[in-house]
Amino acid sequence: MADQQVHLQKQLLDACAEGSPLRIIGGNSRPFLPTCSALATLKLDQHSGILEYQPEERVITLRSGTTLQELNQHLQQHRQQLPFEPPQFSPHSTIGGAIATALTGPGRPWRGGVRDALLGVKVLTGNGSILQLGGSVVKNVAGYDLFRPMAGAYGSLGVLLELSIKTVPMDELQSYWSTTLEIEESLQRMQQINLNNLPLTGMSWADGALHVRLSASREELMACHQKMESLNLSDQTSSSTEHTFWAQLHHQQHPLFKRTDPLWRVSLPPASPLLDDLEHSKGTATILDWGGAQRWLSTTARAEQLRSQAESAGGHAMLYRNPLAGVERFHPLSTPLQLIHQQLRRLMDPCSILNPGLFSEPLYQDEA
Amino acid sequence: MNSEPRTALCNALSKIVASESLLTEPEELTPYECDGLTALREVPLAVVLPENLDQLRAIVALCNQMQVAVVTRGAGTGLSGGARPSKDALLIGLAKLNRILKINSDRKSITVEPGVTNLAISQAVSHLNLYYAPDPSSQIACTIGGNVAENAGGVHCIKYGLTVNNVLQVRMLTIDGELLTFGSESLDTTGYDLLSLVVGSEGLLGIVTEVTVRLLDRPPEVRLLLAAFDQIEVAGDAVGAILTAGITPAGLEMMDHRSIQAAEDFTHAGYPREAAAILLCELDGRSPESVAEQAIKSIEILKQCGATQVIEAKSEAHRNQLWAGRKGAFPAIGRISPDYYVMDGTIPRRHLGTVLQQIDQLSNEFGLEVANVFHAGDGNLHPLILYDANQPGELQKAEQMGTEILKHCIEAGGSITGEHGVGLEKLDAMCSQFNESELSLFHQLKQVFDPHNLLNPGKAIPTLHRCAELGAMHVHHGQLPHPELERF
Repeated sequence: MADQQVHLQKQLLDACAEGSPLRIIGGNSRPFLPTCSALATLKLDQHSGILEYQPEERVITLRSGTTLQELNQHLQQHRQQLPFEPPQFSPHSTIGGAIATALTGPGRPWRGGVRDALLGVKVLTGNGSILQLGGSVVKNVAGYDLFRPMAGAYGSLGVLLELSIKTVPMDELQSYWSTTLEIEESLQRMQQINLNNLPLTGMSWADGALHVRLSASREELMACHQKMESLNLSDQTSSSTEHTFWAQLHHQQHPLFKRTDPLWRVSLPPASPLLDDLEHSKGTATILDWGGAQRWLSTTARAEQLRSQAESAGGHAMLYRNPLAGVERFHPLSTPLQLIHQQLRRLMDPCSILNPGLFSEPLYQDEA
Repeated sequence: MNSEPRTALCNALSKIVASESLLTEPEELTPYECDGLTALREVPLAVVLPENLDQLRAIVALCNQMQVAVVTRGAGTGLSGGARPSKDALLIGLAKLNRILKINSDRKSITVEPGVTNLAISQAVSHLNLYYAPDPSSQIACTIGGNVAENAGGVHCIKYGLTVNNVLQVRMLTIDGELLTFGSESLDTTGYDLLSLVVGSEGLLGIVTEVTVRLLDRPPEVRLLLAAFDQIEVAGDAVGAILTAGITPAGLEMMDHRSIQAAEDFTHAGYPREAAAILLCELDGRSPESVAEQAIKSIEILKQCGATQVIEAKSEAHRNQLWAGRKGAFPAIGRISPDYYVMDGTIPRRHLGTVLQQIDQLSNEFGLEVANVFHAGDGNLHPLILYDANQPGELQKAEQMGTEILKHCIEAGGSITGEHGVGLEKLDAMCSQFNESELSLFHQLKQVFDPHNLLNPGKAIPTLHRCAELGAMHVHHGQLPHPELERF
């Protein structure tokens, strides 16, 4: 637990002077995700520690190198948790990495995303300035919300030094439900369940079964019992297999994530139907998460086919693991948005040294 | 702007919109000279009220071509002067763009034009038992376009979030005529989350032309508790105790002794007059069992914390009656003071007691009374400074005192505005909250979208060299702007 701010700033200024790009690393627990090719690294794992946490505020302020493990344990002691359930890839996974990659657990449609929980950041920009954006209060409309796009920017808008994040009370209890179901019927059934005003915090289809997770008080879960049974779901709350399923899904440890085929993350509007010849095609392994709004496809399908279908359905497709030569990891941006991205990035990183090359950058480099 | 370019502009506009949609005469322009912050007035160059997107695009293209600044207005209910016109700028009113474009019950979303009112959204989906959660007090009049511009809040933010947490997609027209889409109906988009930048940008980055918001299931069970305290600090501690216990009320509101007295005289809500403070704690949920359980727990906590009395609303009518006092608090204050000035700071909740004491001290120092009415659960204070504009110097004193209160909010780790926005009103205070580098960055961000500074210039972000005192919301003789609206 140490404040490395001065050290990090110096490292960055040196890199800036040399024009040498930096790869930003926290616990290095997600090397499979898109990364830049820079050889020099800026390591944040020692820049750790919880700075301010009063359970009654439901806000925690901490350094970005704090591990998720430490953070979760700390919150648990006060019966609180992060609302967005970041996956933990190893004991070294940091909160900075979780915010930068904006990955969330199975509860996303009902609990909100990383951007919703982030209240403010202290950030080191590409020219070595340290800025405080946002704050540590839940309601704050002063200035542009420049801190929110830090969630999911993979460090390319600045090095996250400190974070203020909203916390929520810990789930009192969870119940698990499931039923055997073909993928073709699963989306319709999820839709039906979603319209029943239940305390849903997870709804997924994998390996021929539909899985549902509810989080609420004992009384409320009991009140849901009859409704769940009338939806032809069986109570699996005491099944260890079901607990394992949810833990594996949450932390991306399900066997699907270990396959060697390209793994795509397809994000679609809720209630979208299956894409043509994709999720259920031969040779493709699929998990439908977030009630169908997040789909994991381990497939050799053509990138163009996948992306054009995802786009037509109002979504996007990211090549999440096992990259393909010549295929961009992130779904390409429309030209006008790409221009805004480049200009925004130039504001935050004028010399293009922070994780360069992640988001459609060729145009920017040409211009520069 | 001198008369020649103005004439050229108006002539060109008259070819885009019907004559009744273009206002140029002084008597037509005067009603538009301010928004909800009536202390700041300026007659606009002209007012144009486009009826469709094509007209809006043509108007914006014309302004860009002629380099005429634009101020966009929804319903004009904002409280920070964000939509105050300028004599050199065309005021574009979006109230006629008020169609509901698509209701998607499967996705629990709705797509509307920017001039649709906040409440109309919930009304349009009430038959589906769905609603739009953010509920600023002006919701019967304020538009969703304005809500997006201001990142509007309301009583229920503590549980359901601000506008930014409830908007899925925004279409925005840039000054150079590009129609951009930010966000999507998917739960995330590729690239940076630019939607977050657009929400709350106070009309400085573009003009919102279409908004898609998520809808929530209307909670079938609602209960309301009222707790009385003989010390306001104790009421502040009770707020923390409820949240620490893991209860998330749908609303958690506080009123101090002066507000209680005024509200009781005005609405006869049945508040305990002798109390130093009351808390209104609304609990909602899916099942009677879960809400009953929360209510039992909350009552126990409130009593343990020292509540002298806890009342539970016995019926919907009783609940509405108890809320009426809170919702009528601003006009109630208007009855006891010739003028008042509304502040909008936020603080970490644990500092409620300290900051309230500081406000009390300031009240003594400045010799001006203060009534406190606020969203306690979010730490969002609305101190009302009572003054009389007819007494020389009182107005300036009220403004100075307001500035001091916001300084205390920042010192406590809070913000100068929780939900009313910066507009013109809090430009000074922005200088206290952000440093030069941060403000420069904001200016550069605006340049990305609006290189010639034509969209709502001079608002929201102060220039570095000038953070002038600019005024505030002054309510004269209880004459609130939009007196028909609830203010809470």
